[in-house]
Amino acid sequence: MIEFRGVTKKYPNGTVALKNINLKVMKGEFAFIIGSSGSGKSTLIKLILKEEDATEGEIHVNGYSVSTMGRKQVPYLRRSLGVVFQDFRLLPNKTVYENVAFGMQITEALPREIRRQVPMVLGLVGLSKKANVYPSQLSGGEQQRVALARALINKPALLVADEPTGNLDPETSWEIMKLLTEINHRGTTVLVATHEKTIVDAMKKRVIALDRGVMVRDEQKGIYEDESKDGQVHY
Amino acid sequence: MKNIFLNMGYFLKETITVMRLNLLSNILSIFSTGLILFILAMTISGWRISAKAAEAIEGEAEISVYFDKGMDNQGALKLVESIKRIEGVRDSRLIGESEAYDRMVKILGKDAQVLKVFDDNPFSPFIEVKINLNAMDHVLEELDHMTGIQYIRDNRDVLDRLGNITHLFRILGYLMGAAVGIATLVILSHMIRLGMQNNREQINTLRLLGAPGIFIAFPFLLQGLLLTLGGGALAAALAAFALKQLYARMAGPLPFIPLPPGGALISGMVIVILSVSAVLGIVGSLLGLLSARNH
Ligand SMILES: Nc1ncnc2c1ncn2[C@@H]1O[C@H](COP(=O)(O)OP(=O)(O)OP(=O)(O)O)[C@@H](O)[C@H]1O
Ligand SMILES: [Mg+2]
Repeated sequence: MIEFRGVTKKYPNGTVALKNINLKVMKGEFAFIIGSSGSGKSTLIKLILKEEDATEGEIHVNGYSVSTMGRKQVPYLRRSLGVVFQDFRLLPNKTVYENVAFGMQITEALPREIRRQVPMVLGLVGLSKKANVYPSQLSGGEQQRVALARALINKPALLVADEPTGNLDPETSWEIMKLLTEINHRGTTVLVATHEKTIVDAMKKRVIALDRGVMVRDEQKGIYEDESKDGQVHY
Repeated sequence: MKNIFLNMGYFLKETITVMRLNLLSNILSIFSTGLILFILAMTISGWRISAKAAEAIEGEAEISVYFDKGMDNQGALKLVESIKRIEGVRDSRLIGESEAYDRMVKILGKDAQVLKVFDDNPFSPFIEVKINLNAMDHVLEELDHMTGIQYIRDNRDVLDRLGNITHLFRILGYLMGAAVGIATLVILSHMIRLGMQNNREQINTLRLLGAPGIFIAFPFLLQGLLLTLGGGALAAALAAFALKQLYARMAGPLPFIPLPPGGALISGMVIVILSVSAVLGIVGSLLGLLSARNH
């Protein structure tokens, strides 16, 4: 589903955000990417979306060879994924319904198909009643649920999320996490970048830890802290 | 491509949203494009009017032949007949003193009083010779060989001058066309770039969600098209009004200037202006999109 082989990312200003990352996430997995601020979590997500290009190494996502694909292919890669951002990134001039429908409009979906699919997904995230409301009229948690609905509308095999709960209070964060778990149970592979210790610890999912661009840990059913080696806390 | 038509409603809505975010500058650019296109419309119309006038006068190429004072009516009529036989002459007719006088009164209109200062009729009789324009040189040569002719006046001068005016209008038309094109493209591509910059964040989100380039760009293309078509419609309306006024003014005091039929002139102008604005709209938007992309 996702494979990084010897991936290094050096930004034009010289910052090396990721160093020789080797990583495999299988179909149906739920994995966290953790690490302190600046450790390279967002960079890793950006490489998956081809928002940034790897400086070295090979990346495969959803059957696309991300590192070698042409510009024209990029939209197809992105449409094959669901994406959720920390700041929601909803379109402010569109209603909840339109925001979610938009995800389908950019594919060649028929209007009939859209009218059928959107209410279903809005129901899944519990926002059926807010369909005609604008994002600015929603709470943060609700906005993130809209974003989730949008990410799910094309039934992606893989969902990536960069700090999806970063702007939410703990309770709302849990709601979002529950939704992500549910989505995962329905068969979608989920990759979440986060630095929320409590959530990671409680979920007992796979944990991939980054430290200053280096992958320092990859554990099935891991926890946030890793005191086994040197007793140091990495967040 | 199929997707563009499927989502036309979406695109229109998007375009309106983009334009509403910057309503004032959008309205202003419609007005300025409209004014520029109006000038183009008037230049094109001027070109067509002068071309038509030249064509009409060319078709009616005529020569005035003044004969010797001493020649009597009989002799003059004989001369008319022999002129008729020259190749290239379509018609030749004797214009008597009083007819010459009446013609001038008609041309001068209100100013005909000046003729009253003359005690006698200052006009001499002459022979009006209608010819085919391309036969002008040949006819003049033949006339040279005839006796009893004192003086020949041809309207080559007038034709030359009209030719110059037409030429001027044509060059002006080209220059205006170029100026209008450049000015409109600059305004438009600037507007499009502005719109894209105002929506930068959203556009970035659209990209990350996998929206194809055409999907992102189309509303802006539509915006450009709406702006120039709006300007074009404005220009066409203004120019139609101005031409109607012009016709109303010219028809009275200047009846001898042959004008192209007003309706055809105006509808032709409207078609040209709208097509020009559509093309400019598309090209300008594409330029704007390209320049925004490099930022
Ligand atoms: N566009 C960029 N240009 C230059 N350097 C960048 C750019 N984006 C990120 N970096 C640098 O790359 C490193 C990794 O950044 P990244 O955003 O991936 O970290 P992160 O783990 O997501 O941090 P946070 O938890 O604060 O979001 C940092 O040192 C950052 O300053
Ligand atoms: Mg980050």
